[in-house]
Amino acid sequence: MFEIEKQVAKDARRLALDMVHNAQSAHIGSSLSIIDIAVQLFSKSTKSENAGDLVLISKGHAAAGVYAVLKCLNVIPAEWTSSYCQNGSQLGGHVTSTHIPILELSTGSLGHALPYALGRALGKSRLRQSGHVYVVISDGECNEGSNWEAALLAPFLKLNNLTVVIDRNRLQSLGKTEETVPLEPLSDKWLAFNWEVQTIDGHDFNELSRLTDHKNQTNARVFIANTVKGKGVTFMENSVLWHYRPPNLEELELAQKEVS
Amino acid sequence: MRDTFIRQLTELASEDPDIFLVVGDLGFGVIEEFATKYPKRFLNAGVSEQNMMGVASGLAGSGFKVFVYSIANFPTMRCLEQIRNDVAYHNLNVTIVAVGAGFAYGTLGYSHFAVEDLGIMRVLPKMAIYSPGDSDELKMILPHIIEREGPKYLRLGKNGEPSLSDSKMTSPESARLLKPGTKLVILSTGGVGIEVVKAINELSLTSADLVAHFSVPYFSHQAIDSIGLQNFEQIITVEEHVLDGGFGSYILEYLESNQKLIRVKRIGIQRSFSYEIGNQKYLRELARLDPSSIRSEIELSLEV
Repeated sequence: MFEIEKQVAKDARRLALDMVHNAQSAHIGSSLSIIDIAVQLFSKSTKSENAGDLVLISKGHAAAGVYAVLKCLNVIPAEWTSSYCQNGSQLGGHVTSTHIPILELSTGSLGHALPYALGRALGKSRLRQSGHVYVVISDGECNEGSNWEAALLAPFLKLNNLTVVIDRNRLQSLGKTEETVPLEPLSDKWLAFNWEVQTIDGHDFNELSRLTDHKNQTNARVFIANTVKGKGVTFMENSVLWHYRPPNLEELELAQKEVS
Repeated sequence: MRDTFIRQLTELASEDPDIFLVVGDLGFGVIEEFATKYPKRFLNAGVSEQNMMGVASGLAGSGFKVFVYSIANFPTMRCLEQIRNDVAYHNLNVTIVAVGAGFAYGTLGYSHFAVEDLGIMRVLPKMAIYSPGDSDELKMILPHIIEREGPKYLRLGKNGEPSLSDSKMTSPESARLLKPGTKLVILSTGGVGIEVVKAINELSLTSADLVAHFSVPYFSHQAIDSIGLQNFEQIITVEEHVLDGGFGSYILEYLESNQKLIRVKRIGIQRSFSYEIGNQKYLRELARLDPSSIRSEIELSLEV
């Protein structure tokens, strides 16, 4: 089951590692964390019959992971990923939509895409347009008040075309989320805001398939997707160090072996 | 001006199905007609300006021409990064409508003053700046705003501003001649232009003949070109805004860009916090933006 998704995710992990190594750029941990979620969402949204779908990446720092997935889904050319973060590149260190229209919103400052997604979902609803709006936010990003402003409003507007995915890897920039600005009980918070709340394993495609199943969705929905920062590379997993550090050649080779 | 704005927007919305109005829980007694007539194109985003501006961006991303209406500081400073990253960077069709230019909400205190907004908004790339002096200017400008794509900032007064003159604007993209003159030209933006009109009326007849007055409701080089500044020996700029980065600064930058050498005196608000309580008239007097202070500045300039 889900062999195609698993293969895309595996290829994307390899590519993302190469990209951050070549660019000596940060955020490989966040990129490995988001990849399976991104594979699930973009696999659906890039199908021609789902042209009305929109996937917004609020955690713009996971850009390498997102671009790698898009390359593996043949949305962007390989030469773009090989020039990632180089001068004149199409791909910047935070999600850049300039050359990738399907991303729509360039991000990098946290707390921006959920309000935008709410506006897009409301626009679609008012214009009776088809398609679903997905927005991926990080758990550290739940510190941003703008997300909670949007969280207050969306269920009142009965936006059943809006789905939020929280990449819940429990680490933020300087340490554990629960030792920084604690989020728990996180699902209770969203429930109290009247969202449809589901908790899934953010690396299991059987569970991830629920992200794009809207049969019983009657209102704005949020998935708390439990993930592992640095997923797939043992020495990067659950480590704050790899929020910033790019792998050197030796580390890259070790990491590539693991994800293969 | 706010009543004129909402009335005209409501009228234009009957012909243009793309117009969408977002408010930040403000506009009691003003926005109801629009909300009732076009419920599908109206949203009260509540007291949450960051979300309001993000939602406005998303609506614009869906193809709407979005107007975000609130008081002075709220739809500008409270959500500046949403304006920069979401609206302006993505060149989205959002018009930020701030009521309460300068000291219009005087007695409400400094929190509600819009005295740094022009400087803040006009440094954003792609942001078009509109600052009408009265309802006639606003009426001329609004259809132009609706036709123009991309981010826009519309700075309005409050209500009951007097008409600056019987003279009509000839085009939304040119400055409006309020009074011709030969030697010194006064450029004002926004409702404070009425203080200039009164100041000129207080001048002696011989002095008055020397003084021209233009209102500049749209910040564009083309609009300033239309004035023909080279025909004057001196320029005085007048704004209800801090002197740093505002309208006078814009004119200085225009002169530098065009390499024109003309003496300039800027009249505006000193960049310091005001802890005074009072209405707009009182606060303008304290800031020396009242007719007799402006008249003194004009006379001083004419003596040089």
